[in-house]
Amino acid sequence: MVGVNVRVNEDVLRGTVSNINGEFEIFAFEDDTLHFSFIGYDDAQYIVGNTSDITLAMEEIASTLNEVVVTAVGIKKRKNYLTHSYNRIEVREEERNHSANALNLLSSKVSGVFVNATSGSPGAAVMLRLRGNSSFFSNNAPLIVIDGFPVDNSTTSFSHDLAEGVDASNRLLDINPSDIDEIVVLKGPSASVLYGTRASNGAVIITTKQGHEGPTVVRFTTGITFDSVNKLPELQSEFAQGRPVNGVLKWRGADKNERNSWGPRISSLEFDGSPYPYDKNGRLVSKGTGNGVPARAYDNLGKFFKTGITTENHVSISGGKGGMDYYFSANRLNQNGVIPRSSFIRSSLKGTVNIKINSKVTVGSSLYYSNSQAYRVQKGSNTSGVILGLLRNSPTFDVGDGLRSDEALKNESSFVLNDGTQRAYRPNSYDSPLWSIAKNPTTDEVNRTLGGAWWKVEFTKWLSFTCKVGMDHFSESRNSAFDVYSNKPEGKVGEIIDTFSQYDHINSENFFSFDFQPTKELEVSGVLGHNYFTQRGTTDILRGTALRVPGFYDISNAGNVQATSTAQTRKIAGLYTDMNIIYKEALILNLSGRNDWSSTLPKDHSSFFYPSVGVALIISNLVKLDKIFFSYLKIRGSAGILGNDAPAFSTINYYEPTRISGDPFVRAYSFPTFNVTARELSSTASNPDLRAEKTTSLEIGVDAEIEKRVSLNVTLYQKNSVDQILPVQVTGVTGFTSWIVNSGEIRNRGIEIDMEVGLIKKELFSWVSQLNFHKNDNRVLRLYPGSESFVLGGTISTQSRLVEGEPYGVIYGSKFQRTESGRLIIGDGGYPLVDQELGVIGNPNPDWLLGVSNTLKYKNLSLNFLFDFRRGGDIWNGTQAVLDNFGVSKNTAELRNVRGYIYDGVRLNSDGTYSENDIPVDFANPELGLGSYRWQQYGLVGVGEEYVQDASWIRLRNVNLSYMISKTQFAKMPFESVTVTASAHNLLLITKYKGIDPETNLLGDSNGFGLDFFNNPNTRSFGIKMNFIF
Amino acid sequence: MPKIWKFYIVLSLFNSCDFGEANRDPTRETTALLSQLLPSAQTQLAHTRLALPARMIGAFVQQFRGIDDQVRDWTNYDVRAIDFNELWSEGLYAGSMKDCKLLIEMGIERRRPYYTGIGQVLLAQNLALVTSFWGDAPFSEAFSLDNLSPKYDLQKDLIDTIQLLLDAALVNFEETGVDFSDTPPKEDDLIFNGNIEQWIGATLALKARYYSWLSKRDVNYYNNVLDVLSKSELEVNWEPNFVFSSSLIGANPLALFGGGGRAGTLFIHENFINLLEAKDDPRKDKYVYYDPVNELYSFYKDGVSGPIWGRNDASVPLISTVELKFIEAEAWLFVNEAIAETRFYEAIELSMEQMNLRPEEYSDYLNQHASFNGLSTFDSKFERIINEKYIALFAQAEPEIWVDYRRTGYPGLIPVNSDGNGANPTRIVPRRFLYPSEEALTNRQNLESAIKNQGNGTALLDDEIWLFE
Repeated sequence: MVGVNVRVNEDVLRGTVSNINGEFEIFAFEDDTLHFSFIGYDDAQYIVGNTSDITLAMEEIASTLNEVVVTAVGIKKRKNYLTHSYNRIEVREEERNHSANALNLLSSKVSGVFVNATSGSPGAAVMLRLRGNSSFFSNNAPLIVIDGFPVDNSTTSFSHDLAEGVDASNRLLDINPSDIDEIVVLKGPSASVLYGTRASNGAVIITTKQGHEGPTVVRFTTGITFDSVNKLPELQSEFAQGRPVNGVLKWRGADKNERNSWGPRISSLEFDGSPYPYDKNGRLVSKGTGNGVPARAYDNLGKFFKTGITTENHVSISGGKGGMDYYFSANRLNQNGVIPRSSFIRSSLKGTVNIKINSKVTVGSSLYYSNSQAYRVQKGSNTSGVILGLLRNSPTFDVGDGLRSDEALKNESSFVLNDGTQRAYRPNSYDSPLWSIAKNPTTDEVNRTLGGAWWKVEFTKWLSFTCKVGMDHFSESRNSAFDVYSNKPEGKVGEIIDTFSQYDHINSENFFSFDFQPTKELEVSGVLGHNYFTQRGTTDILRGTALRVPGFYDISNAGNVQATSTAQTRKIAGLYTDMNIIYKEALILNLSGRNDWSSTLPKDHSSFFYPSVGVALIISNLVKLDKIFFSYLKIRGSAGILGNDAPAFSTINYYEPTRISGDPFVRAYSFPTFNVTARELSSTASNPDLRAEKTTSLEIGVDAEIEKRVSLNVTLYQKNSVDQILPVQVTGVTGFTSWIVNSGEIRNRGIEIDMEVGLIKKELFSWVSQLNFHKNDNRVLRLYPGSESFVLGGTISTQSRLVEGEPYGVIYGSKFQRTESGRLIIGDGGYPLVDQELGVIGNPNPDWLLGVSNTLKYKNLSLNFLFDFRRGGDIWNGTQAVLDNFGVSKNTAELRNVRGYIYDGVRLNSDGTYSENDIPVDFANPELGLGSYRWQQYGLVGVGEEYVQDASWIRLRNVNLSYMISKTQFAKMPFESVTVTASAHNLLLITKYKGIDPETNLLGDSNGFGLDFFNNPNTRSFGIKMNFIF
Repeated sequence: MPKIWKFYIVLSLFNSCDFGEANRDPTRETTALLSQLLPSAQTQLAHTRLALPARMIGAFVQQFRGIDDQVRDWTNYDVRAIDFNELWSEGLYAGSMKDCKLLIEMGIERRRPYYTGIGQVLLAQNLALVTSFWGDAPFSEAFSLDNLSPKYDLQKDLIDTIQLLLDAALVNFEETGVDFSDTPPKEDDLIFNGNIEQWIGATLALKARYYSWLSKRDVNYYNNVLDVLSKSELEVNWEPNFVFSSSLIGANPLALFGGGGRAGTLFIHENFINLLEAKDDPRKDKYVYYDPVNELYSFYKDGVSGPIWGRNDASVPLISTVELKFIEAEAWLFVNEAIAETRFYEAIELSMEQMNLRPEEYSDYLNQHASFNGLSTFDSKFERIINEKYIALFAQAEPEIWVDYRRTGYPGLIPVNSDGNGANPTRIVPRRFLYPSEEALTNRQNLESAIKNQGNGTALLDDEIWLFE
């Protein structure tokens, strides 16, 4: 059998894997025991003795329950002794999708995990949540731990306003997914209590590939992937740029900076051949009055995007000998996006060595380094946004001036006029998408180093001590520029923003672990440990305006430069323990607890303790198997509390450089200016009485197996987070806009089901089907007395907010006036009236998520496909709102001729009664002027309620087909084996959502979600990969 | 267990107890100098006057016209409560007003009465903006986290408070050398560079302005105005000009809007152009620029050249000598028409000078329009004064133009036939701003009772505020 894990004394570090012929080599002493494990087979053991050649047969089972798994702080437990839900994903190279982001490995794979790409741009963040959002203000992402060392996975926006700028990366993107061996997901606080405050949202424990005792194995993987845009909004191609003027539809072009496509029918126009810098054919005039060359609609969307190409090469060397094992790898990923020039390049190196010095002491060390570089393009609510400029563009304006994609970008004349200004459909307002790519570049470079060293001493058979020290360091430099004549900043004078960040943390972990059996029926094991974590980050920003030389994006080229710096520091110390009492291999009691001291809390409250308790009963070990339907049955329950500290620097009021603002449409700026410095009291009031947040959780579950074919895990959970630390919004009248307090409560409860069915299990052919289902009900129970909502992020008109009694992050915006029975109230003009008060208009949380994965194997051929179903979860389609207003959406072409429409609603009479509405309206009657149009009634983004759309989807997320050729088949091959994998990602997407792929988020990886406002689109990809083993 | 490990564990436990200054931000201070607060208060006030209020009011009084986006909606009275959130908190209460409050308190604490006095003058102006926009508004219970539901004070009381603040400022400006010595601000005073004489003059001018606002409430208001104007302290150059920066950091908000993300949406109202053209007003070329792209007159060209009020580095008075002359003319009209006419003439002349016009360029205009020629009634003369003031204060003082319109009815604007999607049911030129939507989320009870207590109880755009009832 190939791939059997062979380990000496159950030591993960002293192990190997059997090769294609079922052979293995391992170094062991005479009194060592070899442990053999393989998924789907019973573990086997063999006492080495004085032989060097052993043969062993393994028995097949469906259960993987007896295996030893990694839990919090690297503690290993038998899976069937766990009292909480546990999910593990083994990363098989042939099933790995092509994403550069390791978090995508979790997409739709296990229940309770919500993975959401924020856009399809190279390097765009992926957002990860376990069992819903539970923190109002702090990060809701789980702690990420790699090989026992916590690593930073923050996402730092490139812009003060999350709705604009460029797509930022989450820092786990620095990690090369090819190095990952398995991922464990600890969802509830009771599972992650040992990690302390940082794991209040659960923990994702990544184990990287390690060397194994045995011959040196060289792996080489090379792959190429082709990306294309998977979904775009539908645009009209019938009507020209322009608007009604004095009752008549008129073509008005870029020279008039016309924004609308409410002009004449394109078929009624022709070119006049006059010299016109925006179009080689001249201006448009009525048919019969020009040169006879008919006007046309350009396929701007079709010509703008290109096929993105990603290449990845990975080489690793691993092996082990004489008590030492090693793994070294190098990887380079080169990703070019569907938006021309957008790119992400990552190079990484990794080395891990473990040495068993003697029978008692083992030491190990690992070092990971990566360098990543990206070229990013402007997104979102932003006059330089690439998608904004592209979608708003009129069908009669050719973005590429006859060229497509890369060629258009290379040829400056397609977006720059002779005088240096822009060639754009509305040049004085929005940047041409090509201009924005070429002349508003954001480049960034990150150097990341993760390092760790550890040693373990085994005093006796039952007692050991482990010390692990890990560090995480990265430095990042960003350069964002807006060239002269870009529409940002004001006055088109150009701007450069340079940002330099440093981040370091050190984590030390020291623990004793013991495991002994006082009697035959009782086993007691546990750990007692100490943790110290210190983290520091600094950011310096240089912002310069008024560029002297166009196209030169160095800060020295700016006329006015302002510098600012920010810092953050956090230190946490913790003591923890975890005890397990196992009686008769059937009853398990787990007790754990941790006390943390955090620097971010006031001294009086800086210490906080939280416990967790778990119980499990393995019924199948008590009752005879044939009496129950299940071959394995366990019921389990656990309850725990987890504390969370405060954001840094929240206990003292600070004075800051004064920011002059108060108008969303006028650039805000900060002192120094006018040759003086100035300070103002921060508008966020601090609080010297903060306490730690508390999350209590309770989960009960059943793990069962039926006839070695079906395994089922069901978990019900509830978690309540109280004493949330958040800046509650207070009336500005207090002199502050927010105040950091402990307040509020949020509840998440839900059900998780993971099921695996071995449909067919034959020697040559197998078919395994896996299903995971997650339904989470999330409710904000209390906010703060007198404060009705809390803004998580969004645009001026529409935001994702917390509202008492509503789910997390509801979409909040404008709505229509309605009668008590819900009917629209119609105004004098015949259109529905808008409510002056904003309200909840949508819920972005999905009702449920379902992932269905099928793996079919026939001999060396393997097919895996993963369907992803999502029910519910609204998105505000702000993009469509604007496209309607501008007359470029397909919708507006179809409905433009509607005349005499009577809205279903009522009119409010002067005596307070209602009468049926009878006022007809014309949706787009030029004689009544543009202001009368249906899509002009409610401003640029319309009424929020009207643009909230259901983002349910059915998605064929991954398909992988792989074939392995081994040396046994072709003896002449210069390598042991080669696996060829063809794969597709997002091959199919069925959704009612009218915009881009609804797996997107305007606000990136942040707490606010459910908003789409000219977001960069997502992609579909096809790839091929070859994996050689030497 | 070997000793070394015991030591190790004790050492690491020791680590956990004291974090020292770890939770203190090294990049920010916990206190500020008065000389750092003063520029904050001044700049934010000057900014607020020329930001949203200038555009929205300009659209209401038909000097500006929006052709797209929000400013178009405002032109049609389609105003929403969310439009005012940032103005209310970042601009006013948690913006300049908070700075003023700190200036006043810390000035007293640190025995720096000049700073206290300037803080009071600036706070009075902020409060005047607040109450002219919204009528009743919080003040007496404002600026404290001890009360998260500050009540709304009656506008009547706010108007009194404005005068009290200005009076208190005058006392502080005179206070020097009595109990303690104070040195005036220096370059941190972005308006007068620490010249207290000028501050005293400006304070008096403001007192006159706010007395004149009471024309519908106090039949003798002109006496108060004239009383203030008779003071000799007004003989200095008291005009409080705020000079914006030519760089984008510190530029005039009107220029920042003109060249910003909503460029090409706001233009000059055709009624205003017609008015200037009909009178052959030499200020037209200083006020507006013909934008060939949009084929409309604009207040903005490129931020560097073009219309005076649309330049980045515009010098904008918080109250101008022009405005005060008009106030004087209006007051004299009740007492002595000849003096009133002289002041009226001087006011227009000052306006021309403010626009850097030469006498030969504006003498015709003065001859034709700067007198009461052809007018017989008090009302017609009164109307002419306010109508000319409307032209003279263009862009630089939109809030005052709107106050004048609401208290006098001049100039006679024809409202747009629009109910603003429900914001302006009776389709009149708006009488007030809407309270910000965030106030409904954070201070609902007080807001609701304030809405109920005023006018017809709707606080929509067409609802009247006490001052103009």
